[in-house]
Amino acid sequence: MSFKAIKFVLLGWLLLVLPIGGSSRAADGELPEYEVKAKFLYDFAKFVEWPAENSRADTPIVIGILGRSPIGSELGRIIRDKTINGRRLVIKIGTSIGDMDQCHIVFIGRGQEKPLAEIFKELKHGHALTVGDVKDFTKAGGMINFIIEDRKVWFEINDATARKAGLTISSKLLNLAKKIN
Amino acid sequence: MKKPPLFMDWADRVQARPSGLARRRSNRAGQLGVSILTFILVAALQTASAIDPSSTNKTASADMAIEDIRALMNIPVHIQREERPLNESAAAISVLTQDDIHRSGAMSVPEALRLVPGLDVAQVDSQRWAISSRGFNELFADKLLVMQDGRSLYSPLFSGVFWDAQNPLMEDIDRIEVIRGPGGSLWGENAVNGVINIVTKSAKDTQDLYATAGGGGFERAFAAIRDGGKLGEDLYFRVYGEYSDHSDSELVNGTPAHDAWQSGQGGFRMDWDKRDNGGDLMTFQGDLYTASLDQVFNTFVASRGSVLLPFGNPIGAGPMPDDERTDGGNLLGRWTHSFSSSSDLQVQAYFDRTERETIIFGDYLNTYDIDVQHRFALGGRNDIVWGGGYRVYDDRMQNTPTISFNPEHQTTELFSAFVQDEITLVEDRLRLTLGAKIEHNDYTGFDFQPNGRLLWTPTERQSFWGAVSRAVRTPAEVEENAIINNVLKPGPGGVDAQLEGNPNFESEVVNAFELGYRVQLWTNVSLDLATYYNVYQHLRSEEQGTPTISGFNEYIPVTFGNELHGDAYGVEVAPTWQVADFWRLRPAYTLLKLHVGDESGGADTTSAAMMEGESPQQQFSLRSSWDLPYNVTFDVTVRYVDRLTYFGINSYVAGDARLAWRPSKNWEIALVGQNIGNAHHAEFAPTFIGTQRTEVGESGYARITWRF
Repeated sequence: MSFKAIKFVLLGWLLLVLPIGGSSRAADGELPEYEVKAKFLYDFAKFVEWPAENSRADTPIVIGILGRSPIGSELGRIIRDKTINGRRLVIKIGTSIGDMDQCHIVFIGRGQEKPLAEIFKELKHGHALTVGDVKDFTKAGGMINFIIEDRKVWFEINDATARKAGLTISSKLLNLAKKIN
Repeated sequence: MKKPPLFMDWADRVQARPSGLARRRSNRAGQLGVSILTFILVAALQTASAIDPSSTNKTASADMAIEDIRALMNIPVHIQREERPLNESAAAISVLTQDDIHRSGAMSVPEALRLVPGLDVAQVDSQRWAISSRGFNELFADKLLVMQDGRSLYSPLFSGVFWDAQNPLMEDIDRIEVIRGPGGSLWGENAVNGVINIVTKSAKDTQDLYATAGGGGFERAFAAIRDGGKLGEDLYFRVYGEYSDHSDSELVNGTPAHDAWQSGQGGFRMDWDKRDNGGDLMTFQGDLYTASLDQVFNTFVASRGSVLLPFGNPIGAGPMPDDERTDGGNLLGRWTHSFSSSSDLQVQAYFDRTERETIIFGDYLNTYDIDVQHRFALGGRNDIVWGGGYRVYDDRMQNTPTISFNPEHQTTELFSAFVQDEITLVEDRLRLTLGAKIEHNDYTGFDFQPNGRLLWTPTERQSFWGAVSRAVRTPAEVEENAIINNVLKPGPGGVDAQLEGNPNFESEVVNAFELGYRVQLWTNVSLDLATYYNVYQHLRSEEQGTPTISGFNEYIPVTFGNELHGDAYGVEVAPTWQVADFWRLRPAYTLLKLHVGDESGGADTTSAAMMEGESPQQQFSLRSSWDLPYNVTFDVTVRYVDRLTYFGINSYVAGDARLAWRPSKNWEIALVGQNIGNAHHAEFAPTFIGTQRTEVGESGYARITWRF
């Protein structure tokens, strides 16, 4: 391919990248999507009550991440040295549902491919708060779903599903949710 | 990136509350004043509540937490596109999962590749396979780049893959990604019609003890064992070993073909994964293998030597049995450092040694490779990956009268640099990817491989994609400086066609235009469709010169040239139908129309017909997977492959079936039937290196597997 052609292509790319990529959006206080979602996960833990056998004061709160997701590393940075009600927080990252066995919160990443129905069936006997960020997550049986509207992260909560799993979600959090079932 | 300070948000919200404070947004100083006042108020409240520590403190911290959440809901985010699900790629991509591989009963990577829609997989004999995508299938199919964990399996000697030297533990393969179509800008040279990437599981996922053993007809006997462990915090490892013994395939008349072989391979993998704590990921892996193969080569009746028979002497030739052997090993290290969740740096280096000794050539190759890749987000709309690599091939040949190389020892270098930008034109709807790779190799200098892809997702359930690419297939050593003696008629009075390398051999080029469509039709039916139109230039031709007679023998010089061109179009359709909870059907259809022509004045009369007739025009397959009660699974795949006109090989229908029972978590029994349909059928014929024509026979095996 001739040099001229290469120059043309490069110029075209620069013209596309600069006006589109260099938009002012980038500068005004934007955060990466998963940094915000990770902070939410940490905050959710403050507003959920698990059944007594999962809430012993000397045990850590385990947040499981199912499937590869950028939320894992973000969450790691946030929960370091933090406690909720005196309990420390740990993250467990796994690719199979069995890994999520003893988790208090399970975040189901977008990258994993198992059907949601199968995941919820396996988690049914535990008392994990299920959180996700795909369409129809709560319809499929999940408890909290992240939605992005107008470039901001909101969340919807299916309280009935949570109560069935033995969890009590504080009304303060329910009030902030976009839609309560 | 600036984060709004929390107390300023507090102040803004306090201002907005209708309870009494007036909203004064216009005056900055006024705002600041109110903020300071509110801050003092809040501080006062906090100290007040400190007097009664019990419930008020809890309520205050709960309120703070609620305000945290409210604040989070007001922060604008930029969407991260990592770990994108498959259906958001602008390419014809298929992924074989470990589950697919396990349930198919495939004992090797080529057998597993039969499951991929659009791939042309033909078994040449017991140990060799011709695998390609979108045409040009040959023993050394040179238009398909194959890699394992980032290490190239493509031999620079013949521009192809020696599949008998690739024996990873099938159980430890996490997935096989297959991209049909040029992958030049990301993957580089020789990814002309496709890229196959075999990805093994991380050591963390293979901590249990795994053992398997079995035997049968063609797969005479096999055994493998793998164990993993933890060496320290976040440091995982695994070690494996495997052995397999394959019997002969069959000649056309049904007798054994004398191509049985045995292979042993072992290796390790270590992963040090500190990413959960904001640290790095380091991976070390290595394998060692050895294989001993029976084979029969059409060659000179001569033992291994390094001197060409002087012209004029009687030329003798015929099929010679051989004890071929191949050994090798590799060592790979990879370091990934995350700067943030949208930016990381990866450095990878590997060493690979492979040796092969046959009666027609000997090859001792060392490969050294280092690759660097940096990914980062630019603004809110660009995801950029760029990097470079350097590779050295240090190849020593052992010449024989049949195949000789000049010089016998060659060291070649390959430099590459690439960049790719994924631009979000319309959020969640339209994405443009532009990329290019520039490479420099010792044979053809610089090669430029640009590509552009567009992905349009009009609704949640469907997406369209299109791509325009240029990719290049760089010369193999054999095309540049080898001499291959193809004895057409033994002497005296014999005829020898002497195929000569051409130091000016150019790279083959493809310009590809692709369109694809993916749709989720109903909850249980999805469809993946890809079409393409490829234009090929500078395809390898064999230019025949004027024959000369010397003494009693005729000598026909044939030189490699680049005088052919071609075009191809085709369609690949792969629906998936989840018929019921326990039953999934996956049909697939492939159509290929390839036409190859001669530049005017070219002297190659046969290659065009060979290229057109060495891949099937149509292929159809149907995969059915049942989950039966009592932990029984049953999988059947039936395939139809169209005839290969050049070889006179008929179309065939064959099936594989696997019935497995897993009575407990720890062990599993499986019965597998392979190539069932007719007693034996031919799938390919030897090209380039003369061996016997063999056929694939029906066979089966049983295996038992333990996991602890």
